[in-house]
Amino acid sequence: MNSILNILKWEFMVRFRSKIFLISLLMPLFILGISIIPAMFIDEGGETEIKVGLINNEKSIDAELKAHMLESYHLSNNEPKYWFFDYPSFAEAEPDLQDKTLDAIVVIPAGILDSAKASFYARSLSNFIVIDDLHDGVAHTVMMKRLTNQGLEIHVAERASKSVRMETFEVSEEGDLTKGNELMIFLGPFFFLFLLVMAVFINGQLLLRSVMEERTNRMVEILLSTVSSRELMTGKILGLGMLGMVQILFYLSMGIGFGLYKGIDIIKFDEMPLLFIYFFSGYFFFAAIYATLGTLFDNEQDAQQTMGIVSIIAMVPLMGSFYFMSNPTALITRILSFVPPMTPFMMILRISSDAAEPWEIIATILLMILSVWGMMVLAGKIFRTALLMYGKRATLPEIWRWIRA
Amino acid sequence: MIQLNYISKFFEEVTAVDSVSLNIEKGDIYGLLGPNGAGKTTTIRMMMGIIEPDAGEIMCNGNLIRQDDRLNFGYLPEERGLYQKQKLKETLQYFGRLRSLSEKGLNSEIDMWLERFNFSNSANRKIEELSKGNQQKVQFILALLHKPKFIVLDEPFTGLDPLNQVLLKDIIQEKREEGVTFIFSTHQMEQVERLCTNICLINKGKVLIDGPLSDVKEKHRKNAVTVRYEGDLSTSELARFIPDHQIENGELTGVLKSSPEEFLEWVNKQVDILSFAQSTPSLEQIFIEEVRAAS
Repeated sequence: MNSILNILKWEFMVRFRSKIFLISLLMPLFILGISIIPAMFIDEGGETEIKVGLINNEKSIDAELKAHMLESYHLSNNEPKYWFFDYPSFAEAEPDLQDKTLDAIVVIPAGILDSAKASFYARSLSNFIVIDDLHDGVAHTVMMKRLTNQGLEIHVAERASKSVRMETFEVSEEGDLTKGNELMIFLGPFFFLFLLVMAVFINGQLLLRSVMEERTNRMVEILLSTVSSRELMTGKILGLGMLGMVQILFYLSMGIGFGLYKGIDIIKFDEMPLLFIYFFSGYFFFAAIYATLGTLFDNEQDAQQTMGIVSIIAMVPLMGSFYFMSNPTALITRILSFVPPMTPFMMILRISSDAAEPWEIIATILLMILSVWGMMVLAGKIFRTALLMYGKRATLPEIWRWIRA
Repeated sequence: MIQLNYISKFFEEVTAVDSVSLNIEKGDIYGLLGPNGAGKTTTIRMMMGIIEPDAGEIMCNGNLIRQDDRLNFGYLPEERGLYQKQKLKETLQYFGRLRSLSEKGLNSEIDMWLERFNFSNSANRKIEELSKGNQQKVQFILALLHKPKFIVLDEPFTGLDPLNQVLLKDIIQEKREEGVTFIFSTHQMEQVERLCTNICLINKGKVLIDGPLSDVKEKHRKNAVTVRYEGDLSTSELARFIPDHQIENGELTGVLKSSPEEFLEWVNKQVDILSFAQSTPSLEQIFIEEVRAAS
């Protein structure tokens, strides 16, 4: 037990301090980052003030438009987002747009109340938030003007033109309501799945490398003269499992932080224990495979092909995640939930989509306990024999013989 | 005391070790000799518990050996490696802890060895920054660190400069005086002759010779001859008497296959004999003679 603990600590510390770990820790964040950050910017519409050159030939809405924009759009520091500068003609405003004194030009023709047509100019039309804001602002002011021209009081016109919003709620089995967010309904489960897949494969590969290194540099001989192969394998798998745990806690805290920032429930704490059970069962299942692969190959290039096959099996739930989330009770989703290498991934998707029956949860946990146990026994048999085989690649009949021994 | 009782190891159709028995007493320096592929490393691995024998048993102080007994074993394998990216002292600490050294004793023991091997300034350097010879010394420390009672050294001197070889020999002698038992596996016969108290010669998995070095040499004494002569002895017939012989400056040395009388009669007809002496053969000569005879 003491030996396992010592190996665990060593494996954990050695990898924890390595550059590879730091990179592997930040890589998934980077990948998620490049997909989320632009969306965040789009959502916020940017945090800079926009200078708009205004050529307004319909003076009757001039004051109302500027007042409406001033009131409706702010930066986070409460400063106005849109600043308007009047120009007599487009020709005079254009040079200022070119030399970046202005960010955009809006031309409102005379008679817009009837023609209902204005123009927007910018160096690039990529910032559609700005286009939307200015479009909404002009449209709202024109509508107000039309209504007040028809004799309505301004506050009546405001009430009449108020648009309707629909809020979405998720109803739990206990009848609790959670304010929904369309994006998060998909993002949450996907986030967990991505996290698990990354943690399993990053640590699986570290484990494979660690076993391979000790084999090729023959440290394994000194180790095996002190500890048993079972202790060595257990210590290594647990050490890297702890590392995976640190990764997941790190990602979770990032997720919680992101959730708090956006004011949404990205993490459901009552599902945490189940998610950890599936993470560890998935990790142990694959760790046993990776540790064994480390004993069968002398270099990573040779191991790569076999690793690829293993990874593809686990990638199926990730690749089909949007289908499985949209169809969490479909037959194929249910069947794949009971195929051991995919079980943890499928169940994490389904649990975070609230689409797993209690019996399925219990049955899949039992299935994973049995599978992990079986895998560890198999791996232990191959590990013990293959660890000291140098220079010769084990053949499948040989591996089969070791398993039966 | 370590006893190997008829241990065997089979790898598929190959018998790597065939019913080997050895008695290694406390304080012995036991030389394990044999040509490449003789079964030395397999025997050592079984002693160290790295692999299990398929037959026979290994005893430690009269009882069947247990994993705990092996905490008292130190091992320097022939093919060496270290965690290249890790720091020297941390690597030593890891192995010290694995071998149940107490946290307190661990650091003082490590510091003592680092100083002895002139590593005091390198304690926090990465292993990869050390020279190959220095890395070998680190491995030697790994074998000694936990104060084992029984140490197996597989080719300990290869790759070391003469100064460090002397340092190693001194440490081995010191430890022996403290009652530590050593097993050497080596091809360097001079080292064995200088250091070992006992030898065991293995070939094709079987023990050919086993016993105190002096007894082994005495047993082979009568057959080793040195003949000084005048004339020409370069005849193929010589191999009938001494299959492996050396001729240099009118002096023939080798180990006789026939009786000395028969050889003397023959050689007398070929050349003028200036002197004829029976001598103690070198271990190398014994090695070659025995292995050839067994083949």
